Order: sequence, then structure tokens, then C-alpha cells
Amino acid sequence: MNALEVRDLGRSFGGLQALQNVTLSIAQGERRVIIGTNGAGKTTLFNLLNGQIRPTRGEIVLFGEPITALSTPQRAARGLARTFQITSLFAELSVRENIQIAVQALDPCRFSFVRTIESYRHIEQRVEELLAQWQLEHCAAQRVNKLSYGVQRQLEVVMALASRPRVLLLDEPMAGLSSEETHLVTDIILALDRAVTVVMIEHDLAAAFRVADRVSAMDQGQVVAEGPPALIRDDEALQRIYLRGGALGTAGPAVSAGGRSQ
Amino acid sequence: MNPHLEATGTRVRRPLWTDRSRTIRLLAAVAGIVLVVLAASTLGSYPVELITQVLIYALFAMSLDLLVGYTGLPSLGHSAYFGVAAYAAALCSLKLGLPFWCAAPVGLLAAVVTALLFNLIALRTARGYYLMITLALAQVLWSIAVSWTDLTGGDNGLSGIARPVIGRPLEGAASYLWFVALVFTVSAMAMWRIVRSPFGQALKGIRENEPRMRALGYETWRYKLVASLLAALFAGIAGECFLYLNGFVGPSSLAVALSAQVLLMVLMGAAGTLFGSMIGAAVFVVLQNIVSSYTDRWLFVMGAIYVLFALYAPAGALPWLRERWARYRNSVGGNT
Repeated sequence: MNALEVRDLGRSFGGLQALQNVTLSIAQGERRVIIGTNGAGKTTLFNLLNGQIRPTRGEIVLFGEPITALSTPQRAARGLARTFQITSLFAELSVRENIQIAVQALDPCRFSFVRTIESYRHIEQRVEELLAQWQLEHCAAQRVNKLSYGVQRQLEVVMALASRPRVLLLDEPMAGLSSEETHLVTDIILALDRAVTVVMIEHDLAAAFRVADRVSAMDQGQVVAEGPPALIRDDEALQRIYLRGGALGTAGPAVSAGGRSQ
Repeated sequence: MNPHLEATGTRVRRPLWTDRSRTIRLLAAVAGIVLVVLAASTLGSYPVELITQVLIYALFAMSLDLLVGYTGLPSLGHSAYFGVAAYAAALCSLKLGLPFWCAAPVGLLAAVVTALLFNLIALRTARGYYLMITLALAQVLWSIAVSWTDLTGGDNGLSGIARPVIGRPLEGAASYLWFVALVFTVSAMAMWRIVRSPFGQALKGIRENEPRMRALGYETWRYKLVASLLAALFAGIAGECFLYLNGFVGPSSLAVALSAQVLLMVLMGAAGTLFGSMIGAAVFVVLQNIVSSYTDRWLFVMGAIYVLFALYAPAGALPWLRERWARYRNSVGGNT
């Protein structure tokens, strides 16, 4: 059973077809990277996957269960977590509080208003664990809007991981990071247990190819190429796109499942 | 151990702030209230009535802060819960002859049911519209109170409601102050628990970034609904304390002016801190009493004071005081 299946997914905004006929099969534990130029439909695809917007056609299946009709929180409860392209945190709260909120999100205690948060030892323990693992202990008490952009991007990823997701959608996790921070985030993604399936949008191709088991290239709302990193890296059409900033769809024939197709 | 990440071998550390230090601060706050009440009791009826009013409005402001400061729901209809609880308890006493122990819970239930009905409508809207919808719904209740004269007494309201008997009648101003201080302390501690709980953390998350909360898995409307019901419950408690203080309830307890006043108290103190709302209510009630004793144009003076607050302490009195205190400590530290 695949972790995530996307079948013939489409979404239009008025007359604009933002996404059309997108079909993906992502195996359990796979690291899938989605690349493409700006406006290719990558973030729209993520918004459809986590239920932020509804598709105009097609189906999404998570571990064999159709989730197209489910709300965003219902999808999160089934183990689908995501980060955002534009940093989306709780700006006025501390780093610790941000992580606390993410950790308790799917815990039975989240609706309790009788006991204080500190009395839930397992929540506190998990918060401390994440702070230590992501080297955020030094800024745990700082308000998020006082942090550097790089640390905020890291915190995005920590929060998505906090509730132990089964499928993790990372929307440009390296965007705006220094090379050192990019290295740290890449290492952490590589160190993730294979129980977590990772789907990542990334413009930093070096980092993307380092992480990916397979790469899907998107252009003008469609998946136009798919295959292992080595094959995608050597693809002439893809090279032309990234060198010229042109459209992948017009650059040449697509690649599919390990080789070229029509 | 985290099943998704490699073990770090890092020992789990406890946060610097501990339950013990919180308990000490809480006990200090309770002791402070007891001292204020004791001091007021020795000073005659005017200070006693003033402190009673401060505590009632502080409770009312703190209940609104659960919505405005913690959940990010700006309400201009909070007087509805205050007034409905008071009217319902008064009607139970006057029309049905029910004792305090029956009338008071019925009043609180009425406030919570009103909040449920209001919020099933209002929570369908975005935040700016929430303000308008709550204002409109509260105005409906106010117009009912004014026009349904047979039931509510119209503009004359309902009077002659006796104070509760707890062991002995709470007829004296001082004994009623002790009763209100007890109710205030228990309610404030309950609200403190709520905002420090996982539920309270979720409310803060909703205030800051609701789409992110949904992405994390929170059904945010449930949290907002429950927060509204809890806020209505505590506003209802304040409303009933006010009812038994005056032995009277009228349409002014449901009026938009009261909702605006309590919103000002929250903003003057510092939205998002229960203690700040308490400070805001105290400043508001005391200033209003002092200014109105000197001039008939007290509304003009109060307006000028609000403008000064907006200009010089836009985040509220509590952050302003904290900043001044920090500067003072730094200057003292620098001189030594």
C-alpha cells in the first residue's frame, strides 16, 4: 500500500487551471522531492493535499483511505503534517510555546482545561526532546518574532514533526537558510525514521537531490517528469529550464517512472 | 524516545519556571485580595462598595479577556451574558420565588445557553464580523428587555431582589464584599487554570494563527465555542454579583455601552493577561468614581484619559508599568 496516492487531481481558480491531471504514487517511507519553476503549481498541490483548498476534480488517498472530502484537521489526525512556504508560526509566543502547541495537537489532553500544561509530563518531555534535537534550547524562551529567519524556518519543520506524522509535506524548508542551516535541516531530514514518508518542495537542487529517492518535476500545473535523482539531474530538458528559466513543458519530452515517456 | 528521530542522549530538563513559584505567586495574590478587603472593611461603606464594584468588573473584564485577549475574538456583545444571567436570576427570585441556590445556577445556565445560540451564528463569520454580529445580537436582547415590560419591567427593570443568605444574610456592605471577594478569587483561579492549560495554549494559537492551528489538527471552531461558553459563564457570575449588590437589574446591564466599557477595561489593562484586565477594571472603576465626584462632565475627562492611554500605553497599563519598573531597576542597578 502506498503512503499517498494522488489520482487525476485538478484545481482551477476561475478561468485559471492551476493544477491539472496530477497523478502521483508515493511509497511508504519514500523521500519524494517536487521541483519546478515558480507558478508551476507545487504549493497548490500541497494546499490540496492538506485540505486547505478543495480540488475541482480527482482523488487523494492516504494509506488506502480516501481523504479528499476530509477537513484539514481530520487529515492531520490521520498523520498528514505540513510546513508552509511563507513562515507560519505563532509570532507572539515563545519557541517553547510554539512547540508545546504542536506537540499537544493530536494528544488526548489538548482539550483539557482543568490541569496546567506543565502537569502533562509527557508533553513537556517531548518538547524538551525536540528543543534539544534541533538545537533550539538557547532560544526556547524567546518570542518567535524576535528570531532570525533561519531559526524560524527550522521551527516550522520542528512543529510539523512534533505530532509524529506518517506523511510530512515540507514546502521549501531550505528557503532563506544559510548554507550551515541548510546542511543542518538536510541532515535532520535524512535522519528521519523511514516510518515517515516525506514529500518536499525544494528549489535548492543540491539539497533536493541529496534527500530525494525520487523527483517529480512540475510545470504549468502538471507533473511533466518523474524519476530517480540521477536521471532527473541529467535530464537535458530540466537543465534547460533551470538555466534559462523557461517552461519545462515546452523544453522537451517528459520523463516518467525512471525513464523518458511521451 | 522519539521514534522518528535518532536519540540525542540529551537529559530532559525542567523549565526554569516551576509549579512551586506559581503557587507562591498565587497565594500572594490571594493574600493581597484578603488584605485589600480587610483594609476596605475598616474604612466605611463607600470604599467597601467601590472595592466590591472593582472586583465585579474585574471578573467581568477577565471573562471578556478569555475571548478578546486569549482567543482573538473581539466581542461587543459581552454585556448580553452579564445581563441575561442577572435577569434570569432576578426573574427566578421574583416570579417563581426560587431561593438563591436555585436562581443563581439558572441565571448562569441562561448566560451559557445565550452564548451557545450567539456563537453558533457569530462563529460562522470572520473576526471583524464577529464584533458586529455579537453587537447586533446583544442589541436584540437589550430591545427585548426594554420592550417586554410585563416580564422585564421595561426601562424600570426588576428590583427588590434580596441578597443571598449564606449562614447569615449578606445584607451589610462588608459581608457582601467578603462574598464577592470569595467568588472573585475562585473564578479568577479557575480562569488562571484555563489559560495555563493545554486548552488555553490552543486558544493562544488560534489567536495568533488559526490556519496553522487547523493544519496541526485542531478543530478550531470547537475551541472558540467552548471559550465563548466559559467566558459567558464567568460574565454571568459577574452579572449575578452585580444583581445582588444593587438588588436591581435594568436594561443598562444589557446595553452596548456596558460591552464597550468592559472592552475598554480589557484594552486599558492589557489584553491577553488576566491580571492586566483586573488592573484595567480597577483603573476604570476608580477613575470613574473619582472623576464623577468632582465634575458633571466626567465623561469628557474619561474620554481624554482613554486618549492618553491609547497614545502613551497602547499595549495597556500592565506592560507600561512593567516597562517603567524594568527601567527603574536598571537605573538603580547602574548606579550601584
